[in-house]
Amino acid sequence: MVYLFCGILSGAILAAICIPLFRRDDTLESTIIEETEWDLLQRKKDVVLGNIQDLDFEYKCGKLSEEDYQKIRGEMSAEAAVVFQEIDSIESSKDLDALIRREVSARKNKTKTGSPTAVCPSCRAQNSPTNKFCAECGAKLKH
Amino acid sequence: MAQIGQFALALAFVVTVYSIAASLIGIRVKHDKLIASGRNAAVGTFVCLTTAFLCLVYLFVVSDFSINYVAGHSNRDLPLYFKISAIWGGQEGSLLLWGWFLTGYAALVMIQNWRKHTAMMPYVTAVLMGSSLFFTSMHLFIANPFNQVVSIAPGGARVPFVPADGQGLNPLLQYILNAIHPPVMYLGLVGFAVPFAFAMAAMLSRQLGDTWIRTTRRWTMVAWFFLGTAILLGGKWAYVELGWGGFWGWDPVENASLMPWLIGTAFLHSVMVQEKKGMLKVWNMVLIILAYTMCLFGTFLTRSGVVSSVHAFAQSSIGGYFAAFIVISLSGALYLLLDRLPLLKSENQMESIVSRESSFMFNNLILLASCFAVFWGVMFPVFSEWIKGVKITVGPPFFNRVNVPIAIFLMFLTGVGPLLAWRKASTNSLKRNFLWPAAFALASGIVLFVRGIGRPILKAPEELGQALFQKLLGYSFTSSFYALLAIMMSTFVAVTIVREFYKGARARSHGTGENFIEAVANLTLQNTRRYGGYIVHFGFVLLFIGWAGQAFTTDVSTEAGIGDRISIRQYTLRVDKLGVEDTPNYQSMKATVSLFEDGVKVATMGPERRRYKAGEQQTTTEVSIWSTLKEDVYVVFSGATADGKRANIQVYYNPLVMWVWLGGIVLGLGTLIALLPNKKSGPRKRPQAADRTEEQKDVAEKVS
Repeated sequence: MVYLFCGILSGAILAAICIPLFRRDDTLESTIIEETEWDLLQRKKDVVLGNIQDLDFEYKCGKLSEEDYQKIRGEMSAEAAVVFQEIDSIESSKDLDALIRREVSARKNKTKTGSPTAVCPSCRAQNSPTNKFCAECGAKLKH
Repeated sequence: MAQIGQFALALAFVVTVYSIAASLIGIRVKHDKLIASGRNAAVGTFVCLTTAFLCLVYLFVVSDFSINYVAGHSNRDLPLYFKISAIWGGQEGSLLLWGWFLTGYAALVMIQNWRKHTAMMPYVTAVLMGSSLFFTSMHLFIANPFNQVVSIAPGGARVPFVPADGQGLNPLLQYILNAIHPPVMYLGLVGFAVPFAFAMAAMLSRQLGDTWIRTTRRWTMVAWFFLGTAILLGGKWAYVELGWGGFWGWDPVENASLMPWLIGTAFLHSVMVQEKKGMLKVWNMVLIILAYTMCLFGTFLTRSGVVSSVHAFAQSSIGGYFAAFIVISLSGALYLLLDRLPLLKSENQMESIVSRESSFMFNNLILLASCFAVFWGVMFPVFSEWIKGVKITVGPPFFNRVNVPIAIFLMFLTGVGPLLAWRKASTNSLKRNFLWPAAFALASGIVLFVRGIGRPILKAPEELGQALFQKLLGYSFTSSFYALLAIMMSTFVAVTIVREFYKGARARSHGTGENFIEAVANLTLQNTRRYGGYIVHFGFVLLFIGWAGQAFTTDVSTEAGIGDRISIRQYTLRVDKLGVEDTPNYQSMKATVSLFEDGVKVATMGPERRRYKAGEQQTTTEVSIWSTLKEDVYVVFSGATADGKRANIQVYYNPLVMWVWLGGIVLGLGTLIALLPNKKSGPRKRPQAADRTEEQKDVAEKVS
């Protein structure tokens, strides 16, 4: 009985350890995806907008004088403007980070849904697996 | 069953080593599958230790005295719930509990975050399993709970031996709250391993944004919550079980749990500055390294026996291993911090000394100063013995003298922080926010002063203490004076909190049309972190008031026969009966005492003195407490005369103690609220999309 239980325990642990080693490549569940500049800016945007919302609420509560509120809000809006500009410049350019970001999102979606998508060899856009040509640039897709 | 437990421990050790190796090699060679395998191994370690722990539970429940640890910490007549709590009543079991919790936290972290922070998680696995390796090694090689009892046969051979009964559980631990105190304490201490692991992972992976802080914010709060709850449970245990009339005695082991809690409190505040303003990045790293180190140091203090403590029963020979582990962890973390310093630059500067971020900074410095004072007080006897060869004891007067003013100032900052705006607050805003709280605080101070509380005593210079401010003012500040200040500060903070809720709910109900109660509820649920935090602060207010009451404690000690009366303040106690009670677990002498308040009987009390039958037949005092919101009457039966006709009774009059426990409950409630995710607002109440559009327009104007 003792041996049987010990055997089951070791077997279960061994199976849990080995299963990822023999999985198919496309599961990608632990692919290392490092944070990009775009990620950081997105979060910074959320923080700056959250700070402005908090400030507005504190002003509505009567905790800030008009003078303080206008001054701080002006500074925060300027900060937000810089963040938005940086995001725009990354999104409008063919920045490597942005491309990585786009691809990573697509790969994550692929992992979640489990349905493979067709990546355009020319522009790296994600396409439906039934597409023969890329919906973004028109290049021929390889299936 | 012991064999299965033994096997599970060995397997846990092997799997932990594999998990560390697979994670580190996986990162090095960028092998995703190996990393995933290392993660699964980390979860597997938890499965192994769960198996080992359940085996130990079984051995205690069936009283298998062939196992050394069971025989040393349990006996047949022990009630079932104490048999289970006896698992952590000694060294081996409590270490197993620690290791089990650590791997449990690790498994939860893996499951929760694996898909989210893929660059960091392999390092998190390696760091958590690194800590776990220390504990699994201890379980397996140094403090194995499954070792058998052996006797030495003639000729020196070691043969298995089964004692007829066990040594029993230490009577001081046979108290229901203390049965849960150690697990809660460990959940707190071990919990700090999670933010520590993420901080190390952030530095190792060079992902030094605020991801690690956002990810571990709730984990840190959970650890802080458990640690705070455990400290209060420990205080309650000391109050009820030790029979000296107080709940906090600055015992080294109490201090050992207070130190990480103080640093954890500082960390919980300073992370907000990093999240909001991208500042204090290095400081936050330092705090979390210190917090985790202090958690390990606390365990080292308890286990090593380097200091004398009420927890002497927990002392053992494993202190050296802990010391080595602390040195290795701390050195590694500090090396990493120094190496990554250039990447931890602040994104903003402190704009004004009168701002919320600077108040947080002050609060951090004060908390750290308090922690350092406690550390110094705990370690001074050790240092003095090392240097001079004489152990100089540092008692409660030192801790009170240093920490009481610090705590009062901290309470002041607790009230000030929420009143200040981020970045900068003008005089106008200060006036607007400070007027009412300051007025209420002053009024409460005047009322108490007129009633005779807190009057400083004018003394000749030679009679004064060494503190410069005492000499300058020519007064000696009594504990009553500090109590007055404490209550004034508590009033100040309470008014700021009430105003925060009131103003927030009023602003909300204007915008949404909700009634006031609805507005308060929705306000809290839509910003749980802020308003849960305020409730936590309110818990501290109650706790502080209870603590201030300690300045007015009085006691009387006397020998009394049946029918004798003892008076203390407005209460009179009459001894009605002295009797003996016999149970399978212990024999007790019990006094039946009637309690009268202003001549009216309010309670019958039954303080006891017990002698436990198992093991060394230890004696304990079981106090009897009459508790109201105003005060506690605390009766100790310290023994009877030889003829058994007269009892030694000690009575304490302890004002406001119930406020401490109520404060603890409110504190816990506030923390739970702060842990809740924010409730999403409806479109009518908070049109986010519209706000965002408005903001975009605003930003566009700025840009142009």
